[in-house]
Amino acid sequence: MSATAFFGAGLRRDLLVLAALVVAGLLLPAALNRGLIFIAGMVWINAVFGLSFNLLFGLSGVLSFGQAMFFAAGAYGAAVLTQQWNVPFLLALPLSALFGGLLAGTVGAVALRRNEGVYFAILTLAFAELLHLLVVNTALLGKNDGLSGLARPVLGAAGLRLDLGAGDNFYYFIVLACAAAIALIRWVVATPFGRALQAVKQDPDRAEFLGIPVRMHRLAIFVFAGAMTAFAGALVAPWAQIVTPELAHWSNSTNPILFTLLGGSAYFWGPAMGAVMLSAVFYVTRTLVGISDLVTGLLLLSVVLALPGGVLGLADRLLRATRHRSAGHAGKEAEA
Amino acid sequence: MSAAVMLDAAGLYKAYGRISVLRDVNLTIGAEEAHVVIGPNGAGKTTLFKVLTGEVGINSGRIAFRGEDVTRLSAHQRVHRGFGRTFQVARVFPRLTVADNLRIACEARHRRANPLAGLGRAAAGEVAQQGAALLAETGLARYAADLAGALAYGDRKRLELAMVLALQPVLLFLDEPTAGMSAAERHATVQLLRKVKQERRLAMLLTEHDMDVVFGLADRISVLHYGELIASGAPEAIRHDARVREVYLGDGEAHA
Amino acid sequence: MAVADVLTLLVNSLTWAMATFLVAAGLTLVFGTLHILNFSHGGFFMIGAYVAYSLAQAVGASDSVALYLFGSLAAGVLVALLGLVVDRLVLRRLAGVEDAYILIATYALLLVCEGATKLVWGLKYQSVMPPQALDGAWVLGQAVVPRLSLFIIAAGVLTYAALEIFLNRTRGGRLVKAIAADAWMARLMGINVRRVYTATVALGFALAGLAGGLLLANQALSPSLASAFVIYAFGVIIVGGMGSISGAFAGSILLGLIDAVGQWVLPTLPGLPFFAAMTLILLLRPQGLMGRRQ
Repeated sequence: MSATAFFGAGLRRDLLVLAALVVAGLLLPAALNRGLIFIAGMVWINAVFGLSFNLLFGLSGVLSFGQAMFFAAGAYGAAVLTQQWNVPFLLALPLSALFGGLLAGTVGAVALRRNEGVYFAILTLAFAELLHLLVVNTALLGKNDGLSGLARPVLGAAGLRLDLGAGDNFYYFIVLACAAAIALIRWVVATPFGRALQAVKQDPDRAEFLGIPVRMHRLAIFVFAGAMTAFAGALVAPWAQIVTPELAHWSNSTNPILFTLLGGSAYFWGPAMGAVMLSAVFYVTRTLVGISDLVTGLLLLSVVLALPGGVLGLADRLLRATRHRSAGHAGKEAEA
Repeated sequence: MSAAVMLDAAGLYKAYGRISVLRDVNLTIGAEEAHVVIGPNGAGKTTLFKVLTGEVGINSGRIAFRGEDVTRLSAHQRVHRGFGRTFQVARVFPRLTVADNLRIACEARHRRANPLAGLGRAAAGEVAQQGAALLAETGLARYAADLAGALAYGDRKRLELAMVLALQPVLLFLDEPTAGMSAAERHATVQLLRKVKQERRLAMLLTEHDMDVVFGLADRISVLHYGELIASGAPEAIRHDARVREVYLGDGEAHA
Repeated sequence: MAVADVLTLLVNSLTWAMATFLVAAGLTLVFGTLHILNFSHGGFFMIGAYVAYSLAQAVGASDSVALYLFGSLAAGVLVALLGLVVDRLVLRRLAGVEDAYILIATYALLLVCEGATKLVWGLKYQSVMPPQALDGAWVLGQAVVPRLSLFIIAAGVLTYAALEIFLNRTRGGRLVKAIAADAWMARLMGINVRRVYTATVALGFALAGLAGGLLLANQALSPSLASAFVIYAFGVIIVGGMGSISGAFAGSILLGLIDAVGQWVLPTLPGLPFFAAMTLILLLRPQGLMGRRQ
């Protein structure tokens, strides 16, 4: 295969990595207690959250400070559908994703009119705050208390009955659902659409003059990312069994930014790596008030100032350095 | 040269605030015609380009391409109709390889305006073939795996041309295609452009400063002066046009 | 609508406007000069408030307006010093960095502020009483006008006046404006741009700290103060025009009025008119009321 610099080459390798992660994920309940399994489930969900964000940031060069609105749309959507309208969860899940996509389409149609990135970022922040306000002030959504008592679903079809509330069943469901979402995201990156987005990121004018409709591409990826984010949010509803306006607060919008930058935005698995690392940080610092904010902020600062490639970038550089050195050694040995 | 008119621009006015950059510009380009626009710096050549290719809008006037009114169309829509554009400072995708760059261009042609369009297996094969052919034609095959950002200036210009040709345009807009080149490179570029034009039967609109390039390529020349088109016609006619001599050559503007 | 209601509406909106302006002034100043949108500005405003609070606690119960003002000034000075440190360690290093990463870096700085505040002062909400002279209200017929509101309005107007005088009538201020307009040219003319940048940052942070101190009695003191004000400050400078002090002043008044009217018309959805206005401006006139289109 000829050399290529496209983000997304090597689809097969990444799908294998995903498969390995799924196997590891499914084996976790054997080793971890219920509390840690809860966190593990959140890590999978946050990985999807971060990967969706990176579709915008790393792939397309679009910085959104408002992704929490789609996460909350999915979470509240699933909560309302299952708890108030008695929609079966397996249907509520894709519907919530669809809802997220529609919301993204509306916001994107308006916000993407401004080409300068800073304005778009702040517009998404404003829209997200608008949604946050709406959620906090809507009685049907439980206002500040949110919606609680959400049940883990029971799946039933053709006489078979699977209670996802029993044992670690819902965790397994999360692993499989997130894996499917991740596979879909990975597939999109490797399509001509994904490649065109990379071109748009590097030089939008050049892309426009190649006949690539830049705004349409940005809108399309914004909608897809919104749908995937809402999908992740929808999984939180039965997992945490409560949805609160915190999910729509702009601090939740910054979570995927943290995951992505910490892991490395230039690497497909960067956001997933970041989700794992930050969950570890949050868990370790959970008892010390203020430490998690401090550590997270300092980590993020050091990434921007010293390690723009994130952790995976650092690993990449170290790997290349050792390969270089061993190649040098091999050369010397040959000469000797 | 056939009599069909490819591009017909009439009454173009463009102002930025109170500064008018183009005033009542009328321009026609025939099929397979190489049309060069010359004029001193600041005359409005780049603005004319931007306006014709859809990068910026015009205040008033009409632009028709092959009989169709394209005045309101966006840049990418004009590209789909057959425009190709190169920039004064060659723009390619720096963090992609040369081959990747061509792939983007070829895929863009297949996908046109549909962001979600994919490529069937046949189309994908065509894209690969086309890319390889263009690399060979512009002499860039040996750089296929190199990052476009690392290319030498002249090679980058050739890559940009290859990418634009991948779109199979019928009218090329070339903004100072030989800017910043040595005499040898300039000569090579002129040869390449002549060849490409002839083989693909393209019409071209260029801006240029170097008179050798101008007279080497032009079928017709237009002279832009402070936003107004003061003369337009065959090269020899322009060379002897009194007003042009007074306004342009008399400014002390020598060969670039 | 009765005159009393109109007066109340006016006072409320102007109080909100001046409070937000006090926070936004430093933010827009730094953006206008260094072209860095400092997310952490709200964090330093919060630190200023906490510093003023601690000073007040240390001195003991006092009802002196002078002491309240002194606390604000002290907070301003301390936060300015912090700003110098931040400038040296972080802001200078953001010189060549892409816009997106600058936003993210200053957001990270905000997190650091919030974390440090929680560590040092804890999570509890504190309520600070204003000095007696500023407590209570004047009753004008049916209308009740809190003295603290008038104080804040006066503080905002005075700060605006001082900044305008500084920027337009002093050499230092004109240097800042020159550099904001064209830093390259300024360097060419031998101006030590780096030094002016540092001074501007110090001034911007000083304003944040000062605002924190002045507004101490206006709202509950808690680590979520930063997030609460940051978005409003953003909205105000966007509507007013990023980089323009007058714009921030006018923008805050406009948005204050919109917000107050909105609260009266749509009491169930507080804040909605603000974001609607902010969104509209961003779409229709992104350079803001007084900004220059780039």
